[in-house]
Amino acid sequence: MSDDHEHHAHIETPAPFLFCIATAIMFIGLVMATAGGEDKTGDTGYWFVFIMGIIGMFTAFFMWIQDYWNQEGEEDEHIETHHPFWATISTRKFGIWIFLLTEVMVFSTLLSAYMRYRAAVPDYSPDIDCGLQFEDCWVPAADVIRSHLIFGVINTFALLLSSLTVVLALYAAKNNNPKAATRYLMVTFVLGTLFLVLKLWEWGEMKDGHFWGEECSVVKQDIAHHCIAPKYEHGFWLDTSIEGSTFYITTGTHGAHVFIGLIALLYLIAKANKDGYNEKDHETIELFGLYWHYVDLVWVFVFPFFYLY
Amino acid sequence: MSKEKYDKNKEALELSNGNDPLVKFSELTGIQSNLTSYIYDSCSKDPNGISEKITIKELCEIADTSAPSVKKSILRLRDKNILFKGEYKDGRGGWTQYVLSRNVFDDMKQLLTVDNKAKSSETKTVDNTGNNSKEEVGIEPAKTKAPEKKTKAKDHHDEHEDHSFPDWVTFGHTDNPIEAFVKIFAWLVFWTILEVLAIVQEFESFILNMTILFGIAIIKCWFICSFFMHMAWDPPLVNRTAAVPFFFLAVLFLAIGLTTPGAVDDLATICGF
Repeated sequence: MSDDHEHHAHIETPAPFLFCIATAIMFIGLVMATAGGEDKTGDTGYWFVFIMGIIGMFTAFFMWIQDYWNQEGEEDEHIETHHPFWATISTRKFGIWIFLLTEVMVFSTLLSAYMRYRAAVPDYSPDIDCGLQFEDCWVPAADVIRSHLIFGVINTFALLLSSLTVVLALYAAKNNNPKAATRYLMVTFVLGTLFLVLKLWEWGEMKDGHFWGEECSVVKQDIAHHCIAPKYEHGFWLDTSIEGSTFYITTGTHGAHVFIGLIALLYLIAKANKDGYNEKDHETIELFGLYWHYVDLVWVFVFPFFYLY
Repeated sequence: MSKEKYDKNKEALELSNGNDPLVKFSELTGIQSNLTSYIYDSCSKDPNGISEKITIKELCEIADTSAPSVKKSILRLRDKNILFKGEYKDGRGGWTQYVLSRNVFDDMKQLLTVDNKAKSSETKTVDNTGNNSKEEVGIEPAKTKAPEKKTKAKDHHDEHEDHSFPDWVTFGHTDNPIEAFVKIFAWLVFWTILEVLAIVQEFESFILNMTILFGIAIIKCWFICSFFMHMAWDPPLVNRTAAVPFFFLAVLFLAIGLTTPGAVDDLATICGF
């Protein structure tokens, strides 16, 4: 290893490992509490495991923050190897890419499950008997959201713009302008918050059945004109139909990622106010940017498949 | 040379005289030592001690390492008051002129004089025995290492440093990365509007709809990955790492997502449920 790193003490914290263990415990508790037990209807005793997992996650998270909060400068270890191909990026950057790969798997699972379900149920067609409530046909979330599409479009622009502001924050830091970097990070936070607020409002509207359109005539079965299918007249929610389940699970998982990104942004903004990112120390913004762009990237696929078609 | 550019070099010269280095040249090792030697060679050609226009590519070749490592090392050297940044140019074809600390410059001059004397006496000894050529012995300055290491470092870091964008993406050539990124955003907005308008048209063909949606999503994905995520400039390691999940994506979408329901009904039996 070169002497590049001699001034950068490495923080060896168990916090990320503990965080992973706690997350696993939380998920095991959640799955068993909702779908465990002999009859697969849930074993309520596992809610305790779930809560312990949550507590563990919070504890590890704050340990993590505390360990890095007082660190001056950034870690800048590069992959230790004799082959130049591998020694081209920092270990932190390689780590975030590996993390993003696992995230690709999460969302591709959700999207492929959606496609699988959609392939299993025929789309509405006048030639098909969809039943009185249209229960035998796939009435996509896009038809329900059509009246609220503008908010989906605004959210899309908000996420795209927030990707741009993260890039601008990075360049401001690289050009030794920490104040501008902080400002761009704050704008990113505002845009991310706008996304979540609109998303929650949109969910509320759909859950309560506040659609802006006429109800379909069951006799004519004219859902092709984007009226409200009878099965949704009381609202469109997680348990209304398989369309609702796939929509809320996928957009909810995406929203959770945005929320986690906002927590990370809060840390970055606070750290930027405390120490300031500059031409030497800016890799953290770059790594956060990779995550945030990835969240944007997922939306690029979620938006057309759940909001448009 | 413009007045502003002259001032940057002048300021660097003043700083190099007024700030004592925190460490000696002999205490430097690895990348920092190599870089300092190379910059010394360049500075010694100028009567004022200002280096030539040096690119990150050159420094990567000299140090046989990646651009981020070189940049970190340069910053460390500046922190130690060994290097001072003079005139520079950002963007495509970017370069920097450096000034070495006056004390370090004098130390190195003295050190190399001693080294050269040692080298010439050693060469004489070897010549007398007739076994070795002059190049095989003696102290090699950093400059002579550069050609043999050129093949290792490759050029894939150059673009990363340049952040050059294809002209068609930025509607003409631009050296300003900020302006280029704003134009990338404009492209993304354009494709989003096109996507929404295409769906509002309500084409009846399923294949046409899917082609439009998938096509535009992939185009937007390319813009985000290439430029916002820096993959256009990152070393091949990043691109190849990012390519790994495509195998699993293909499995998920082709083997599960796009199959007919009956095709996977037997999965439960296969899995033993």
